[in-house]
Amino acid sequence: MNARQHELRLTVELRQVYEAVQSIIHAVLFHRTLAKFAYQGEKNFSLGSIGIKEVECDHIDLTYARLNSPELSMCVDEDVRQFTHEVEEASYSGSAPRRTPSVGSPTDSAVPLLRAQIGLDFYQKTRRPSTAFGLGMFFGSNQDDTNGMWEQWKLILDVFRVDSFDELQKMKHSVADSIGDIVLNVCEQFNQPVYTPTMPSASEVSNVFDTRFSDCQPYLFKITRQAVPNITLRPNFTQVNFQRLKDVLQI
Amino acid sequence: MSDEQHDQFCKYMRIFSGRLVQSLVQSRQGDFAEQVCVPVSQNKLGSDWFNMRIDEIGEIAAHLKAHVKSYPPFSKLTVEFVLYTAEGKFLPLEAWILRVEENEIDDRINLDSQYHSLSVLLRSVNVAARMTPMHRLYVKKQNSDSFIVMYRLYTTDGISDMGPNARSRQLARLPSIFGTVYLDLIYRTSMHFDEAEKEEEEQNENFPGKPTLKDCEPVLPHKVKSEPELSKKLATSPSSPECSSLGETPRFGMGTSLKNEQEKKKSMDEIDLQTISDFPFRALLQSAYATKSAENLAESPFSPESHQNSAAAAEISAIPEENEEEEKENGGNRLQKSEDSFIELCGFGTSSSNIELGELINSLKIAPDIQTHTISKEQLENELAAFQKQQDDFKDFVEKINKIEDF
Repeated sequence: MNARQHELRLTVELRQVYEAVQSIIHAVLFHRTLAKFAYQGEKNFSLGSIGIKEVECDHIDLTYARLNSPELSMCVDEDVRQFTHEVEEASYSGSAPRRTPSVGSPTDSAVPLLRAQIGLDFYQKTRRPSTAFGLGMFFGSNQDDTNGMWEQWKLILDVFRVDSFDELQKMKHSVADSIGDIVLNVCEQFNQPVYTPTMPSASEVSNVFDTRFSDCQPYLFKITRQAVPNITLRPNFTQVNFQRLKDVLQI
Repeated sequence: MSDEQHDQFCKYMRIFSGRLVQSLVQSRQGDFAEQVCVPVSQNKLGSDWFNMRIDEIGEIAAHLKAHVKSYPPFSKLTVEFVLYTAEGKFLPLEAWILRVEENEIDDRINLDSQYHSLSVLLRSVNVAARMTPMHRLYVKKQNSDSFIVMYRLYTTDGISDMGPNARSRQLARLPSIFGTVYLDLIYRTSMHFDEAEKEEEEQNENFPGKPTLKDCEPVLPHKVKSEPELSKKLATSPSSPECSSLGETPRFGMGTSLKNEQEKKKSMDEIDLQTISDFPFRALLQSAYATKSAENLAESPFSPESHQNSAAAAEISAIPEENEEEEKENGGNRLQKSEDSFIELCGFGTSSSNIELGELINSLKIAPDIQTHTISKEQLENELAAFQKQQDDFKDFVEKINKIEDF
């Protein structure tokens, strides 16, 4: 299946990473979360209601709305905090290779630090039949959850550091404008005729939705972090052929 | 597609329009929204349309009912937000336009799918409403002393000009078997007043059915009601004469100018005369006057004869009368000196009547007994004649006082 991919780019100051990522990820998740299902039988179900909560940012001149689910919020917060911590560590330790910024500096004296990336992938679990010639088990054809990825959101952050209060204030407003544009673009994408998984039966609901939460039901999702961009290595001969055989068997 | 399904679709659009207006207006009230997620058991049928918990504020619903008679798909619905300043200026900021194109049909999408799409769109509205420049710049900072956000609803064509660099977004395009639902957002990015008011007038001329700015409703009506001046201003159009009177700057009353030294001294002398007449033991002074010279004292405007019979007038009767002839001869200011008196008294003003102010005031204080007071016609005529003679002197005196005040 070809996943629908969306790439978002944002320039932020180091102290704004956490709130910027939170605002955008919650905007996406808000559209991909339904109210809690209640099944009556195998195929009939009814939905509860979802509520919103406004959150005011400290380092960005912005107030954003998210789903008012403490459990979902904690789940997302864990990943985002870890990502922010990794970005800060990479910035302070200098382990991230300095790069020539591909985007313009947001202020006169902003220092480029690194380019970080965080992703939000929506998938559904698919069961693949046993492969031909019994080779499936040998090659580890256990069910791969991410095979059913149907939508991918990638947020690329150009992280800078500013030292003066005035420049930070300036970035508070400019980043707020940028996030506003990004979220409006996201809203446009969600309200087009696009593919979403069909509503599952009661027995298959966990293949499409994340049923961990008591007050809401998001589509199955995963947050992928890449605070320090990895240097991509060329695969060797064995790895290339192994991957080819795997793809053939999965067809 | 049956008629029943089409009616159901129209019902969905009508209710969605109401939820859209409620969501947008509430997002501009500046309060931190918080609604909990509820399970199915608590979601009573018909209370949480599109599976989203939104408060239903009565004032907003009433305004919607009063101004919108037709909903999509039968007409488009526009929600326009306007900034109103304390100076009485209006600035259109945003316009949200909901419409349905019934000729754009997609047979693959049925009513249930369309309901689900509308629920996603409602969530988008709640998210997007907080991402516009207006929300960041004005919503949280509005108050009746500086500016407030107002809104108006209409179904006619034509929106207010949002100025140069206005941005337009198509937030939603949801095709279905009943037509395609569109939600457009147009918002201002350049916050300048100059051209907006002129353009608004031009717009109103081109679209007569469009509500004017005075039909706008504040997003926070309860706060405006507590400010009677602001609510009075909002009740009138900016171009109305009432509003122009409201917009008048306060007129400051200027105090009298400072007098120069000479005028100050003169006025002080006049005050001194009065105070001297009221000081203790003035009877002794009066008696000194009485013994010294009866002619030097000015005639009282009240005939002394009328005071003779009253006990209260006994004191005044002690004051010697002045003949009219003596008064004519003397005229002008006269310095009254008494060899026995240790106080030098000056005549009051330029009156030739030589009436001392203190004695005049005292005589006025002691009213004659009406029953004992008999005024003959001759006496009145004489008194009137005396007044007429003194009229010129009085006018001169008034002019002098006015000149002192002008300084």
